[in-house]
Amino acid sequence: MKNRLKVLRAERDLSQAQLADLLDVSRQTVNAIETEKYDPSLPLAFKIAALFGCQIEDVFQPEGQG
Amino acid sequence: MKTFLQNDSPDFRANLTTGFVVGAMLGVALGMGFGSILLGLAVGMALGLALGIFISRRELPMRYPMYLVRRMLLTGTLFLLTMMIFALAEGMASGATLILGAMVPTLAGALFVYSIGSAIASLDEMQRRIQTEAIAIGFGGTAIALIPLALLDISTHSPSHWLILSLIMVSMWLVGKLWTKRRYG
Repeated sequence: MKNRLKVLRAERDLSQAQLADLLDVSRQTVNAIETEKYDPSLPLAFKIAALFGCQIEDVFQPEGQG
Repeated sequence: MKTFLQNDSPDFRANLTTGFVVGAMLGVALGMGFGSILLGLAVGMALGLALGIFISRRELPMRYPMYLVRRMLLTGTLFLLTMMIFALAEGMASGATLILGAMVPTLAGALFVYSIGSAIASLDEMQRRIQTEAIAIGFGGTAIALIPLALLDISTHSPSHWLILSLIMVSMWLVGKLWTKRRYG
């Protein structure tokens, strides 16, 4: 799954560690999501979308779309 | 971001104390085995303090709370100690005493496993997946490694030492963890 997490994080001038604290996950998890090595669970994906004030599909897109 | 603990924080002091106690206990036990308790105690305390500083000075790769790291260290040490004491005292006891003695490391081991379980429960979803996959690889790898060992046991009629099985299990778990960390890292 592709995502815009890195772009959204950069727009808000947040570090990976700061975002990890806000999402209550580890920095490694934020890094793995950004590098698309790990797809988050639905609750975490909703949490990320809510944090950036957008819809879930604005952050995550299936492979081959977007 | 804070990546290590301050020298005056309660966690830092607790880490030093835990490292010191763990090092001293293992040092004495090993010192007894090598015939020099004082040397074992001194080296153990020094290494234990170094361990306390080490875990305080770096960002933990997993999101275990510090108290769980300390609990794992203490219960793991307790397990090793009870195993060592049993091995040393094995020849001195017999019958029911021997069976009771063999039960003590089991209890310490159960406490250790409970601590590891609590630590895994405190992880986030990706780190839990890393641990689960590592355990699965460790289990599968151990099962595969046991096949030639079992065949050798049958052909030579000399059972393998239980320590070999423990070493294989730990090695396979570590291989699994490295593999999954590389995959998600």
